[in-house]
Amino acid sequence: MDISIKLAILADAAKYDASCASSGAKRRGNGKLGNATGVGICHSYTPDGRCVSLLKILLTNFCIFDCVYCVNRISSNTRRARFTPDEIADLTIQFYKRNYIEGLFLSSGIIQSPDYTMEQLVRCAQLLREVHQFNGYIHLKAVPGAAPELIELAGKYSDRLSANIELPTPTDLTRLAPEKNFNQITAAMGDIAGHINLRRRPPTVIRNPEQTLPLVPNRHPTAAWKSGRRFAPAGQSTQMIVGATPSTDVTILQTASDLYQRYQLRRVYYSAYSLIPHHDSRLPGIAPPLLREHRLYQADWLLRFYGFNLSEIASASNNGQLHPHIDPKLAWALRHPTHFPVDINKASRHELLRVPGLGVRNVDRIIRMRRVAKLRLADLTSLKAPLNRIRPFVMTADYHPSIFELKRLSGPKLRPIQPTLFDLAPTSKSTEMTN
Amino acid sequence: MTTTVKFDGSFEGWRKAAGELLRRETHPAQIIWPDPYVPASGLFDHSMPMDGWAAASGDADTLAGRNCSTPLAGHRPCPMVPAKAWQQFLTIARRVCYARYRERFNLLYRMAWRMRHGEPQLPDQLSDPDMLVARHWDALVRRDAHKTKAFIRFKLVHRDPSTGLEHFSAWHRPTQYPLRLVGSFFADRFSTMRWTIFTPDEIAAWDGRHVSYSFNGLKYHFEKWDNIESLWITYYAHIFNPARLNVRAMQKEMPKHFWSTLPETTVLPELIKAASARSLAMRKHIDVPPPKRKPGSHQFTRPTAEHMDAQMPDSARHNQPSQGTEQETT
Repeated sequence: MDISIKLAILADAAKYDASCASSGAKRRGNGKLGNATGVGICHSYTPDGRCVSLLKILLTNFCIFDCVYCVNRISSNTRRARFTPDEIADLTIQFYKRNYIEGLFLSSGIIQSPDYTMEQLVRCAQLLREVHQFNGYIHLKAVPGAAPELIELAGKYSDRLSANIELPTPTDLTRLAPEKNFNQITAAMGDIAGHINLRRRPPTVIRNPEQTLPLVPNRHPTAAWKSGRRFAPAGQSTQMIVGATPSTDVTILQTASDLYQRYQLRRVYYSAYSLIPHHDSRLPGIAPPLLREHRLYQADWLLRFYGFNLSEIASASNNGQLHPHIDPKLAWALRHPTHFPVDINKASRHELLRVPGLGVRNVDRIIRMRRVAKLRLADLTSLKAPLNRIRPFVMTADYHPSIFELKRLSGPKLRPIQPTLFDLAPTSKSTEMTN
Repeated sequence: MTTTVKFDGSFEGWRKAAGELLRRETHPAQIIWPDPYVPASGLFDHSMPMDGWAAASGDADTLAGRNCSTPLAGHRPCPMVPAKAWQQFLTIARRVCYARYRERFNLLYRMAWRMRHGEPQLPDQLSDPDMLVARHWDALVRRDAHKTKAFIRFKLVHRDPSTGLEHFSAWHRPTQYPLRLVGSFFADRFSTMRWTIFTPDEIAAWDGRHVSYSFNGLKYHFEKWDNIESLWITYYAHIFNPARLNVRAMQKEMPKHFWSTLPETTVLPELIKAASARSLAMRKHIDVPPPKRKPGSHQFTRPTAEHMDAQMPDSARHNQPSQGTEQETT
């Protein structure tokens, strides 16, 4: 089979994986081909607005599993192909030299057994690193159930590993992906987290004080760290499909926040379930609005960078669903008017982070600016922050919001609504529905 | 009386020259900074080697006022600029030097002057008019430098059959002058190759040891086809999910200005055109019809359009296909 036909089939099969991040690893070229800059670079954008950073392909889309939501399941009659490790390595190098990509993101359908599949993936990475002296970014999929030695090898060659959790609850997984096992997936994550902890300085402690789940023990890095052998320096991530099952946003965030806690994931990707060719009738007949995915990311950010905890987010939801028309931070602020107005000139960083419309960078700018002079409302305009959103919630040297501003905001917006799974929000109303 | 400064046009050159001028207490109004990228603008000598590229040791200190023992500076107190504020200023200045605005060197010198004359905390005064302009230009250059790293597309021009050494070239049209800021990035990443980057304003070339720059840009570039490009276009066309069409978000990150040098954009119009049909085809396989809604049966009060605009962050708005998008796809 011609290489370009294989590439077409196996790129087609890989596009439902949301991750394309190439950030988190930093190393110089050192006379080899490629480096990693710490921040990823998006080399192109496809018409769905998503970035193309890595050569994201499957080794093969033959698969022995029958996961309902997946286009590559055994019962789907999609066209199949398989790359050899040499072809993958060559393609990666050729693309990389032309500055098309930051590196490779390699995944695969399960062929023969998890062990065999993992071995094939590792071989590709090994070829790139040892034969082609490739020093760019490599993201490998960790196959749950594969032997620990293979996972260890994978971590040695790659920058990031990811085992996909797929669905938010074990019940969802049993229903839609009968061959997959929630505990097996989390066991793989635990394996990876253990290796990472052993070989790397512990990541900065973050997240929610209320969480009670046990952490993977942070062994202080000594010999292993000094040996210079690294294990997946860009950490691990995972992906969860949203909207294929009736699980609510809060359930999804609960699972995500457990995973962040227990396995120190760098990212949880939320992927709005997307219609696939050869659809199975156990799935909803309509994709969830992309806006839902966006709200989940917003809430995820609040949990990780804004000092919110899950119960606060849940308190601003409607029956476990995030409000589709207002972002989770505004929803929380409207539910807790007693926290406002916040004094821009005196409030702590933590309090400033809770103001709707103020992001982490602007909060840090405010703290810088107020060292020099008391801030007025006009000073906030220089932040390029949305002043209309901020104004009802803050006090400055020359401004105090009227109580009516807040009341006006909270009027119609907080009326409880109950969107169903099949609810058609504005975003999904694209051309194919109206034509 | 005003004089025109002679300098090599790089940030290091500017820093060296500005340090000397500050030491002599030259007022910003007395000098004109030529634009090295605009030949008519000044006395820049095109044949001049880029020796200013070498680090000017000690100049930062002179510039920050630590070294002022000259008789000229002696008649007034010489205030120290705090090292941190000075570093913040230099970080911005390094990028602002490569903004496509004639005024940039004047602005930077005026700011340095102000920092030495009573306003050492200028970088923290984010709402100061000079700072606003500087930060704006800084952001433009930073974005363009990033896009340059992203959108350079190398083409194989020559492969030495005996050594296997490969020569690549790229043609890029930046919006600012970012080449000198990104040269070291490409040198580190592609050190094993030999490459040349052509832009309308300047050229950067890597010979395996150094990156050399020239102010003589190319005004046009002939097309050359690289065989790998067709594979890249195949990949691009197939990694796209037609069910998630969002042309506005794509164009925001990849403005049309850059399309002419990106091989994959040749298939863009086709992809956009075919997206809705492909998405519809997927829908036809589905037995469950999408739920029908009676008009006006919304369960919630829809906020007015104005409200939505005020409430939603930018990225959320981009998720909504605009009217324009719909027309393009039909």
